[in-house]
Amino acid sequence: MDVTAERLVEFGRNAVDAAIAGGADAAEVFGRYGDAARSTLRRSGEVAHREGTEGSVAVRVWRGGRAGTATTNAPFAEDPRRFARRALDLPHVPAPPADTTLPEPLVTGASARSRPPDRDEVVALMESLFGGAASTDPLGCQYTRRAPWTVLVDSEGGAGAYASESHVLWAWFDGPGGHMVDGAAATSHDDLDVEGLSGRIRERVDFVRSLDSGAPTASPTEARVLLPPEGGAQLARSLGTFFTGQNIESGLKPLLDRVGTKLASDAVTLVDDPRRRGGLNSRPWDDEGTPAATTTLIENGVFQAFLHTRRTAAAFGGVPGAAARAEAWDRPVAAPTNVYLAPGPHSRSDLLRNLRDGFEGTGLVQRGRIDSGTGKFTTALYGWWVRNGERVRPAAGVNVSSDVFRLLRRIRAAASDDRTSYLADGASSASILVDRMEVS
Amino acid sequence: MLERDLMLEVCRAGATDGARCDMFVEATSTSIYAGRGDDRSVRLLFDGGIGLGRTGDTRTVHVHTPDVSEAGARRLAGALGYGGSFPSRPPAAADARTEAFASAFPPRACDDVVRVAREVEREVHAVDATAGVNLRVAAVVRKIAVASSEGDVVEDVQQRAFLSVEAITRRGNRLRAARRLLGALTADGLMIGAAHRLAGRAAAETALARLDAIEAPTGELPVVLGPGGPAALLHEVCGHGLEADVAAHPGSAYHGRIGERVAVEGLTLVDDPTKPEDAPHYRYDDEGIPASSTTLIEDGVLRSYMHDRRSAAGLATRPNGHARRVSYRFPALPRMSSTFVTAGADDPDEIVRGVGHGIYVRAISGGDTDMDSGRFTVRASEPYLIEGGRITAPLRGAILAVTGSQILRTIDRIGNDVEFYNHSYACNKLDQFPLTVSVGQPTIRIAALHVWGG
Repeated sequence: MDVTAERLVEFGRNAVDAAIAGGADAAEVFGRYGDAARSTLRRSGEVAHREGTEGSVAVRVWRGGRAGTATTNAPFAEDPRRFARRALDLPHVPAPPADTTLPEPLVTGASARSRPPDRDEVVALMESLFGGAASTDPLGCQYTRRAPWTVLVDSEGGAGAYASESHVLWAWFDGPGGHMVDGAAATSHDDLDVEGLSGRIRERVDFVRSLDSGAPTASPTEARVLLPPEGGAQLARSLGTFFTGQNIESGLKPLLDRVGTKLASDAVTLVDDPRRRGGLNSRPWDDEGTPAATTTLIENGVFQAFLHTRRTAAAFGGVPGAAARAEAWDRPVAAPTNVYLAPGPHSRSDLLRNLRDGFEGTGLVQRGRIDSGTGKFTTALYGWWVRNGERVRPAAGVNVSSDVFRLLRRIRAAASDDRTSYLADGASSASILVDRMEVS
Repeated sequence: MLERDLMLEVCRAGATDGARCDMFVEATSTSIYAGRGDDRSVRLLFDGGIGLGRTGDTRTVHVHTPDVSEAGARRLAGALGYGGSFPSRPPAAADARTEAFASAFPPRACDDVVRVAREVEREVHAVDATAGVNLRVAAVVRKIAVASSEGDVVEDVQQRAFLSVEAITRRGNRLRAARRLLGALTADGLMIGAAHRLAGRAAAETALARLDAIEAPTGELPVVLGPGGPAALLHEVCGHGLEADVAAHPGSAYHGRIGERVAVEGLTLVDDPTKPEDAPHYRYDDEGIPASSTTLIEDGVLRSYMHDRRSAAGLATRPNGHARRVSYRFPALPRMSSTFVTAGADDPDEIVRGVGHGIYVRAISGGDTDMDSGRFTVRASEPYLIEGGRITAPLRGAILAVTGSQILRTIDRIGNDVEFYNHSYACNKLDQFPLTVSVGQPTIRIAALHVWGG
C-alpha cells in the first residue's frame, strides 16, 4: 500500500478511535480522495488546465441511537481528534446503527497507477483529434484524469482502501444542430481509443456541415430508432439506477412479484459488474464494505434482480453489494457500477438494414434519464432519417422517448459495437435497435 | 487566512511573460440537515484551500491545494510551470487551516438548521399525517480572500441559507409530490414570518391537490409563468447566453448584438449580486471586483454582458463584478448571481384572464440547455391548465421546448408582481456545479411554446 492510502487509513483509524474515546457508541470514516487534472482545448487555440487534490473524508458518529457527520476536504491537514470532536458536538438526529463492516484482514485493490500524462502531452493528444478541422470550426475537447483512493474504516477494527483511476477524453462541436458531443473513456491513458474517437469526430464535422439550419422541426411521431452506443449506455445507466432497492420503497414494490418473469425482449441482458476488468467503477468492495459481485438484473428478457444495499437486501430478500455513498446522505443507496447492456452478434450495419424506415442515431446531444414521475426514458440524439435502409436527411436535437417498460419490450436487437461511455459513468452498450419510440 | 504580503508575493512570482496571476483563498463551512423518508442526517462540512491561476493570451493554468499555509501557497507557485506534475506531498502544518475554518464556523448554525427542519416537518404532517417528506436545510458561511499580480487584495464574507421541502402524498397507488424552495441569508432568516412553516404547509397542500392532476395537453400553447421560481427558465435560455465568454463565440445567440433589439419592448433583465436586499450574494466577485448591478437587456435592447476580467479585456471594457467560481479548485468564469426581470405594468390576474386555453407554470424543476444557441427543454414541475381565463386542473407534468430568442420575442404580457427565489437555484456551467444563484420575475405570458406531457 502506498503512502497516500496508508495515511488515509491511519487518519480514519485515529478519527474513529477518537470518536469512541469521546463517548461515541460507534463510528465510521468514509472518503474518496486523490489527485485530479482537467485540460480543455478549443479549436481557436485556447488551452486551460486545472489540477490538484479533490474529494472529501467524512466521520460519522453514533451515540444513544442518534448520529451526526463531519466532513473535511483535507484529511492530511486535520487533527483527527478535532475532526471527530466536530462530529460529536453536532446536534444529532435519530439514525439506525452503523451497517458497515469490512472483511478482515485489510483489503486493498490495485495500487499501481498508470503514468499520468503531463500537460504538453495532453494538449498534443487533444490537438490530434482536430486533424482536418479548420481553426474556425466550433470544436473543443477536454481531458479529465481522476485518481482517487476510497477509504473505509469502521469501529469494529476493519479498515481498507483501494485505488481507482479514470481517463475521459471528450469533444464537442457546435453548429446548426446544437451542442454535439462524443468521447472515449478508459482506466489508463494508454487504453484510450483516441483513433476511434478521432475518426468519429471527422465524421461529425462532415455531419455538422451537412445540417440545414433551416430544416423544419419534426412533428412528434413514433418511429423505429437505432440508438448509438452512447445512447444505449445512457439507457443502461438509467436502468441500473431505476432497478434499485430504494426505488422498491418509493413505488416499484409491484416489481418484486415480477422477478423471474419476462419483463423485456429476448435481446435484453442487463448486468452490473463491479469487478469488470477495465471498468471505470471497478472496486473490491462496495461503500458498505460488502465484497463486490456481479448482479444480472435482466437476462434474455427475464427480470432477475434489483441492486441492493444491506438494508434493502434484508428488507426485500435480495443480495447486497451495490451500496454507494452520495454526498448529501449518510445512508448509502444502491447504484450501478459498471452496468452494461450485453452486446449481440450483429454488426451495426446489420441493424441499420433492419431499421428500414426510422431514425438512425449516430451521437448524443443530451444525457438520457428515466423520469421518476412518468417512468419515461428520454434522450436527445443527432443522426439521420432513414428510408428503405438508406440515409435521406440529417437531423440533430431529435428527442427520443418511451415508457421504460414498453421500451424494454420493444428492443429488437443489440449490435456488437459496444463501447464504454464517456458520459454515463461506467456504463457501456452497443448500438440498440428499438421497434418504436416517440420521436420529436 | 494568509498574510496579504505573502499572497501578493506568490501572485507576482507566478506572473511571468506578461501573464496575469491571481490567488483565491477560501474557507467554507456548511451545516446541512437532510431528511428523506425515515432517513435523517446532520452534517457539518469544512472545505477550503488555495487556488492559483495564471492567465496568458491563449493558455490558462489553475492549480489548487487544500493546504492553506505559506508552504502550500509557495508550492502552487512552483506548480505553475509547464511540463511538470503537481507535487502531492502532504502539507506541513494543520493549525493555520484549522484556525481559518474555526473562525468561519458560526457556533449555532447546525442547531438553527435542525430547528428549521423539525418545524417544517411538523407543518407538513399537520396537513397530511401520512405524507412523505424530503427535506434539505443548509446554512453556508464562506470567507474569501482574493489577490492578483496587479497588486490588489480584497476579502469578503458571504452567507446564505436554503430550504427545500418536498411533500409526497398518496392515494391508493397514486403518488404525487410538490416542492417549495426558500432562501435567506441565515438559517434564522428562513424563520422570519414563519416562512419556513408556510413553505412546508404549501408543499403538503399542493401535493394533495396534485393527486387529481391530469395529463398535460400537447401542442403550441400560450404559457403563463408565475412570479418567482419560473424565472429559472430565462436563466437557462438567455442568461447563460449573456455570460461574456459564451457570447464571445461567433454563432452564439447574442454574439456581437449589443445595442440591438433582442426582446419585446418593456422587458428589462438585470443581474445584480446585491439583490434582493435582504439576501445579497456578495460584495466582491471571485476576482475581487466590486459587485454591481448590470442591466443586460433594457426595454428589449441588449445593453451588456456579464464579464470576468478576461472577457472584459477581450472587449476592451471594464469587468463588472460577475466572476464567480464554485470553489477555490476552479478558475473564475462569467456567471450569473441574482438574475431578474423587472416589474412591468400588467395586472397578473388580468394576464391569466386573457388566456382561453393554455398552461400556467408555477415552478420549473430543471432541464437541458444548449448555452450557445439557447435551445432548451425544461420540465415544468407544477403546471396547471388555464381554461377560459381561469387556472383550473393541476397537470402531471409538462415539458416546454423552445429557444431563448423565441421566448424573448413572444412575451406579450409582463406583470407588476416581481418575486425572487433567493439562493434557491443551482446553476451548472461546464464542470462548475453547483453554483447557487437567485432568480426573479413577475408574472409573464409567452404567446406560444411547444408543450408536451412529461
